[in-house]
Amino acid sequence: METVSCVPVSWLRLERHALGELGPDEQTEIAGHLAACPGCRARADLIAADGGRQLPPLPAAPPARSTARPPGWLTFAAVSTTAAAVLLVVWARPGSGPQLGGRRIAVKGGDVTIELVRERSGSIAWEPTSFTAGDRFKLLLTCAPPLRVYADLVVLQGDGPAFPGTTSRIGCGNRIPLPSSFRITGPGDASICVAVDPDTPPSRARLAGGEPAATGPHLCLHLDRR
Amino acid sequence: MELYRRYGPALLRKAERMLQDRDEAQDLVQGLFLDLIQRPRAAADLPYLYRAITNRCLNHLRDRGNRGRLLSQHDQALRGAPGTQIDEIVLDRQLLGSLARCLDVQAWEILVYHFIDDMTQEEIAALLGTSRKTIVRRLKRVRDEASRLAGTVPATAPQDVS
Ligand SMILES: [Zn+2]
Repeated sequence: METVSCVPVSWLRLERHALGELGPDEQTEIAGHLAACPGCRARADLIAADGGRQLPPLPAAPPARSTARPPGWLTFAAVSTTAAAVLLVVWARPGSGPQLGGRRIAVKGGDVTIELVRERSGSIAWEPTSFTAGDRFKLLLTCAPPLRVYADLVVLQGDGPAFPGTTSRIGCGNRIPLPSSFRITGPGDASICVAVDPDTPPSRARLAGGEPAATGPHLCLHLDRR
Repeated sequence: MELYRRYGPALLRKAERMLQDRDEAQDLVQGLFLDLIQRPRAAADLPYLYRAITNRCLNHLRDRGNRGRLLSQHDQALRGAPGTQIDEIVLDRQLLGSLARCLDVQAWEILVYHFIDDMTQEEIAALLGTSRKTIVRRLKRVRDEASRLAGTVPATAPQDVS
């Protein structure tokens, strides 16, 4: 890190310096500091090196719905899992989308509504019943605070179970996305099983067995391959 | 959106530092800008947006377990440079985890600015629109808690501060 004599320039000032937003005196002062302080210069270099990063698109708002909810969108970043290649889908706005649909799981302390969202070539389908190569999926949970639930999901296909992420503990709210998002890449139709439990993380061993084996609060959604 | 293009990268870096997760950071930054589209603000400069994203990240990390995660990831950063940020108090991971349980939301915000973003007391005061005195007092509370806890929390093995 910095030498003892360095009082670090804050990240905010470094960012503003990089943007040229500070006054001339402050710009000069920081430039002088960077020339003398390897620690701060390394930070400034990090900012500069990150300058070419692609921002995920900020979409235009979709047509107004029946409620005043803000619009939503999906952005993507590639990740991988063991059993199936998946694409991480970031559901960017809890509370976005059409009026609440989905299916409910009753747990101790209240109901949890599960909604599946599919993104295909930039268009979003709520509660789809089919998939094709390249589709991306996200699960949203809606339940009433202050309830908190452990949640996990598995994708089951002919080649076995794939867990796109780790078990999450979700603080209830409106359309809270599970952190793990996925693309379905195995053979044949698919089932997506999600388990929620306010008290303990759901058993993955049981969840991997799908509907016949799962115990505790859960549901499975079937998707046809097209 | 011009604001997004101009400030999005800085806010993403900031959110990633706090969350240690690129996708969660994108999620929160996009949410922030979407809200700005819905409710535009005339004075949405970088300091304003920095504070907005800090609070979104803190809300995201609002439960104690996640704050512990934040702290454990920023163990080195939270110690600061020797002799500059944390004074003589050695904030090891265990102590920081304990601190997470006794600070209020505003103290956390100040802690983040000071120990993760490396802001001076004056910068924090300007950002929060409060006096430096208030920041000094809140940081003293952080340090006092650290001192108090340091007496009750067993020390862990020292780590390199390079
Ligand atoms: Zn420096």
